[in-house]
Amino acid sequence: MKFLYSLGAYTIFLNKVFSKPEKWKMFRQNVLDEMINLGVSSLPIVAIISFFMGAVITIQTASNTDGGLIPLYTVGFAVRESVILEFSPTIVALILVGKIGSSISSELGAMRVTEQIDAIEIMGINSASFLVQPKIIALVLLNPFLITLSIFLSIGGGFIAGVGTGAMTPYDYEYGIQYDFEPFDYAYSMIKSVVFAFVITSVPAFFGYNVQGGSVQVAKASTKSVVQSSIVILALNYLLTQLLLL
Amino acid sequence: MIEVRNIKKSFGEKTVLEDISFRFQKGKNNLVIGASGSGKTTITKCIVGLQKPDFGVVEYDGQSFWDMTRKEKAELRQSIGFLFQGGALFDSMTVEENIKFALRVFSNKTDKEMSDRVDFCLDRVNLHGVKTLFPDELSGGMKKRVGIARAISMKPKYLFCDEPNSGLDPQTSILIDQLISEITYEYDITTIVITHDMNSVLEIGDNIMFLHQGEKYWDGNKIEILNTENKELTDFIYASNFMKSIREKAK
Ligand SMILES: Nc1ncnc2c1ncn2[C@@H]1O[C@H](COP(=O)(O)OP(=O)(O)OP(=O)(O)O)[C@@H](O)[C@H]1O
Ligand SMILES: [Mg+2]
Repeated sequence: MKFLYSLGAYTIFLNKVFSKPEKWKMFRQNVLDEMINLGVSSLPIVAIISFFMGAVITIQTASNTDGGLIPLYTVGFAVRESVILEFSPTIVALILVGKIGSSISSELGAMRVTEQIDAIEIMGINSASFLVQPKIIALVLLNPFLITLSIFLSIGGGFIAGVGTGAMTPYDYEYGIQYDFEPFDYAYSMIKSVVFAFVITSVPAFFGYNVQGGSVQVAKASTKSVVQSSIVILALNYLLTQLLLL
Repeated sequence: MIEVRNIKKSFGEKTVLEDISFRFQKGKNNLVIGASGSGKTTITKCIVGLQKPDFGVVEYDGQSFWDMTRKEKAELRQSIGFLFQGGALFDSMTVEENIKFALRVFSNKTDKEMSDRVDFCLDRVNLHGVKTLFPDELSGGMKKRVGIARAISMKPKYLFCDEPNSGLDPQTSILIDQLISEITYEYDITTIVITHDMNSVLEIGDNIMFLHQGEKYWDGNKIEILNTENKELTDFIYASNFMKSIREKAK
């Protein structure tokens, strides 16, 4: 029951968020600002996580195929598949929930309790649209690039780990990476990155925007938004996998 | 002119406003006075629609606010200036950006024209050399004045000031009263000032409403308030022994 109520409130919120911006010029500027604010500042963490993720997956897969029966190129193949399909879009999304989602929620929550949102509203500006829409659009546009970068860095990390430790030759790894490549896998990954970007921004924005109370409630909303966004991402991940890959 | 009729508002069990009716007149300084917690902020928020009254009518020049569409409300709000009790300045923006904010959204002014307007507004609240500062670099009184400057940036037809001179020294306080009063007469707008400062009441009180525990106990002007026998109101005005002694002497 409570879930349905929240879902309804979230839908109404999105409806308010996606009404026409007051002024296009200002909107474009705000989207650009948010792209730098949300996206570019996330580059280092995404890069580091991706690199080590790729390295670990490679080493683990290699150690599991040690028997000699399975050809070495399967390692590259398995790394590519798991990185493109799951690790980059989903794990990076979960990391970004922690980084971007919590900051969106606490920023909006603080603005709410200090009446800054009311101050925008009282000027005749749709505060939800003004504050939230640029954030959603910015990350939806940017996340596919972040995820693509993550894929390349993971595969690169795998190369360095696999070849660097002498577990395989560069040829084995590269052959595996290119083996039986389906372009649709990449498209699937991009679809996920767009959907997840929407969740990472809009769910925390919903919790932050609707805070009532003071700093304790702001903190609670931030925690709640991280937990809920993560759950939504995992649920959608399951759903999208069912829909797109089967 | 803004008229409210039979406004009621409760938060849960607690009734905060009980059947308030009043006319806030155009071209006059309309004051809302009353003790802390009497519902002054709540009634103004009900008038501008930041809170929804449980019952009652709010009319702007005869047009019922709660019957307006979202678009009509937004249009009306462009002619409202509002000073929040806590300032509510945008803390991620400089003073200049704060005052420019609505201009950037709604006007087609050039950068130069907007800057001029910012200078003009800051000059009117007697603040200089603060344009590039952020709100957390300002003193409490300076924040108040930036708040007022932001509220008048769009030349509002309706100006709401929630305790514009609390936390200001007596001189600046009088200056702010005079400023508000000047703007009211000069542009012939409807101004609503919340205050519990008796100086302001006697200085600019053209049309005063006294709230006590969520009810309207008295209304009148600054001359009438000196002769009132209303018990709650006299208790409120002559709270200090000093004021009481002045009153005794006057009698
Ligand atoms: N959002 C809210 N939720 C619950 N109660 C509230 C809320 N806002 C105000 N109140 C209650 O309503 C009453 C009136 O509050 P209001 O802020 O209008 O007082 P005020 O007259 O402006 O006081 P002050 O002079 O101290 O600013 C208070 O008792 C307060 O506890
Ligand atoms: Mg108040």
